[in-house]
Amino acid sequence: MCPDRELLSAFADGEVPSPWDAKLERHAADCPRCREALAGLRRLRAAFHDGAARGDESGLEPARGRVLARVDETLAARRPLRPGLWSRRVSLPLPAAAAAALAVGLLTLAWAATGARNAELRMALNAAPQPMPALASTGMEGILELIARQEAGVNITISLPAGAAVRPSGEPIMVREADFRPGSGQ
Amino acid sequence: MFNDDEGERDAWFRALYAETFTVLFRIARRICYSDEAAEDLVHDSYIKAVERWRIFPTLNDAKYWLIRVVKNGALNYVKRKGREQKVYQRYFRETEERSPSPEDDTLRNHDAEALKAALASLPDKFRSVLVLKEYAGLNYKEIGRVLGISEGNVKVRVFRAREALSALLREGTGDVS
Repeated sequence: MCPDRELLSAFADGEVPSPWDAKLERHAADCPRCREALAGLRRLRAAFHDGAARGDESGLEPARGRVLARVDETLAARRPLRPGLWSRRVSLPLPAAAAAALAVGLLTLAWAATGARNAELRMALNAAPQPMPALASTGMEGILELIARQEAGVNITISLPAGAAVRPSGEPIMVREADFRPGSGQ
Repeated sequence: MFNDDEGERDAWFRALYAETFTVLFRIARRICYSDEAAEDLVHDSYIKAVERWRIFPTLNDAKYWLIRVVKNGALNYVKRKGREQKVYQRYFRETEERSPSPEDDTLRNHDAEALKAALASLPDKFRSVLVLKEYAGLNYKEIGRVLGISEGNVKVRVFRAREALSALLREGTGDVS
């Protein structure tokens, strides 16, 4: 039984796997019809390659150099100039860029708030009343009378006379706490 | 002056060029029948490949992609030229006979002329497989990879293309089949 023409076409292309290619070749040797069909396929294939062998390929080598030069030229024209230091692009991952922007924003806010508070303090200091001259007064009654004469919001510093000796009386609270023992009743 | 990336890309392109130029030029030339058009097509295709060079896993992937691009570009060129030819013929009231091009002069053999005419009149899907098989020298597996079809499909297409080509040659004066 003869193979179909599709198989003969594949055989002519060397695309029939072993061992079927050898079987087909043996068959074609004994079958005039298949032999003629294969000869027709080989003539057709040869017609393609005859054209190529007859100088049809003469333009190949000059074209190889010309096309390469043109591709190089096109790529060179598209190559950007080397960027300067300040025009270079810096790429950062999105989370890092967002964190950096947030940090800059927070620092700006903190700086602005500190500046405003310092301005308020400066104004308050400038507006602060001048300290009153020191008055010598002895006795608690004299001090209370002095306070009563002042307007509200006045700061008064009470200082002891230089060289005054103060003698503590009673027991300091720190000592009492150090002596405390649970269950001792103290 | 290249930076590292451009140097790497340039080396990749040189290797691709050495590997593919002959086959690409043959395909373009055999479909367009014009050296100038073939050079333009191959040049444009290389530029496209270089622009996306990082997407190709291997040089072979780039090769088959390029063959497909050149083949499609050449078929489009022939269609466009055919339309232009018809417009000129209508304008100048010329006959349907083609005037010989400079490329035709190199093909003095009658069989070669007949084959060329018959091949040009085949549908694209038949012409593509024969050009890739006979001029590009690709096997069925490689043709399937270029066209995105199975090897079995390539075998059927090659067979049917040859049958159609033989019928056209028998109708004309050429008798290569």
